[in-house]
Amino acid sequence: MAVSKFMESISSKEFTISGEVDPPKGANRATIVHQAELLKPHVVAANVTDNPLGIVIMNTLVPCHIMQNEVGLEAVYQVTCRDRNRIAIQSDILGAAALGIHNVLALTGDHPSLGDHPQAKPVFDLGSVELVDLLRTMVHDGTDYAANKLDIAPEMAIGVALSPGVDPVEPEIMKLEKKIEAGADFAQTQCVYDTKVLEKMLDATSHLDLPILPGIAPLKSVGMAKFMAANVPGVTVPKEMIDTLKNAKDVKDATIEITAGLLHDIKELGFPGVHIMPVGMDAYVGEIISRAGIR
Amino acid sequence: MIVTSEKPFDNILEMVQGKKVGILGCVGGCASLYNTGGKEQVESLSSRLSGAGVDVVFASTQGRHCTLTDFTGIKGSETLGESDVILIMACGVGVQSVAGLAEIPVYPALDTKFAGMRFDSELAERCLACGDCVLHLTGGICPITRCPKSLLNGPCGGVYAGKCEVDRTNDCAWILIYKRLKELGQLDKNKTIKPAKDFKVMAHPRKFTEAL
Repeated sequence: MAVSKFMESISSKEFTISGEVDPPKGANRATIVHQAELLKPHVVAANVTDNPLGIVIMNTLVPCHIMQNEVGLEAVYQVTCRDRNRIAIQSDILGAAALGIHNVLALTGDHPSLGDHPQAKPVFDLGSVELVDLLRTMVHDGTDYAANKLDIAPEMAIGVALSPGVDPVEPEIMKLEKKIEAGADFAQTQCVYDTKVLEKMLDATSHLDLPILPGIAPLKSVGMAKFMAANVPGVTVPKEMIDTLKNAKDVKDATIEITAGLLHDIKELGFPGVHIMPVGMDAYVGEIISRAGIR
Repeated sequence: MIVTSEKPFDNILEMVQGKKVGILGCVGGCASLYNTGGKEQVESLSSRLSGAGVDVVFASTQGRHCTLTDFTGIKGSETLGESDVILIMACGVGVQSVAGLAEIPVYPALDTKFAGMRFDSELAERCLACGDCVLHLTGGICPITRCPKSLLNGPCGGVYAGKCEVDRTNDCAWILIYKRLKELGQLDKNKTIKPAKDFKVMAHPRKFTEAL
């Protein structure tokens, strides 16, 4: 019996689609419900981000809970090591477990210098590998990280991230191997736009027994393509994609078409699923999936 | 070596304005090797302060202060009694060493930056004194110091073309470690998970008993 609907879907060999919800900058709960409702018909679960780039937004746990309780959409709780030490992280995990959260994605986290509070003290008591080790200890050993027994252990699938396009890729794969050894159950990747990167990723991870869901985010403009390529590590955007966007009469339609094409390729290559980061195009996720010929 | 830099002159002036000042450099110590507390710098600060109307009673270009046990042999120290304030051109250890000996206020003229070394044209941080050295596992490149997240088990997702997300002029420590281990035929050393760091070892203030 899988620990979550998300893991059950992956185990069933169904093509599994996860989405992503961005917590608001502010206390606006309606935006969480709105994003979750748009995604719910199309995804098995949705990640909730943990102050990405170190930009202050709502505490990750709250949208996870609202999504699950009010919308009925399963959460993948993203946890980074940037702001909390091992005590705070374990405390949060226990709280998440009590709220019925059954998926966690273990991340190192962006450095605060990239965000809107660059003066903040970076924590990084743990890195992502040690975080996976900590989570496995709680979930599988039923103890905290200091070997003290928990009355009820959290039941969670442990996810990790992968940046498939980085060069050299070998250190990244070595790190993924450590994450698997530490207890990872699944991986979701950084955005991929290039089918060649997807093929290389399959090749580089073929020896590993880990479901990997490539990440995709709709490319909404030429500007976004250039920004992603210049600022997001390992991301390359093929020239044909940029040309398609440049020459498009209907940019939104071109965006949907490009994203659907990628999604189609991901399925054809034999990946077990995909992680869609809608970046504001939540309302079009269904159309992207159907144009990819998946449903 | 402890790398220091002189505080902005206005800050120094604010500390000592209207006071009789004695200046101690750190001659033969780190601050003189890196040109922040040697003879020339002591003389320069003395003349700039005098020029700004501060009464400089003495300016010593002798002695290293982190090993100081008394003022014997420090030129000008006989005039210490005439000073209101001592200004130290040394790292924070030197300032505290002198502050523990002097009966008058002791102020820092330098900011203590880090433990590091001259590397090409720059002074660069190389040791955070974490108390649990891993350099034998990382090709002689310190991930605690050179990775802004002090990661123990490999690069984060922020490595961009071998550079660090925090400062793209810096090489990613973990890419350097990977390349070096590969050259040394020691990549296996990166295959074992390094356990979460024991920060108890880093809990300050630290002290230990020397083995004699």
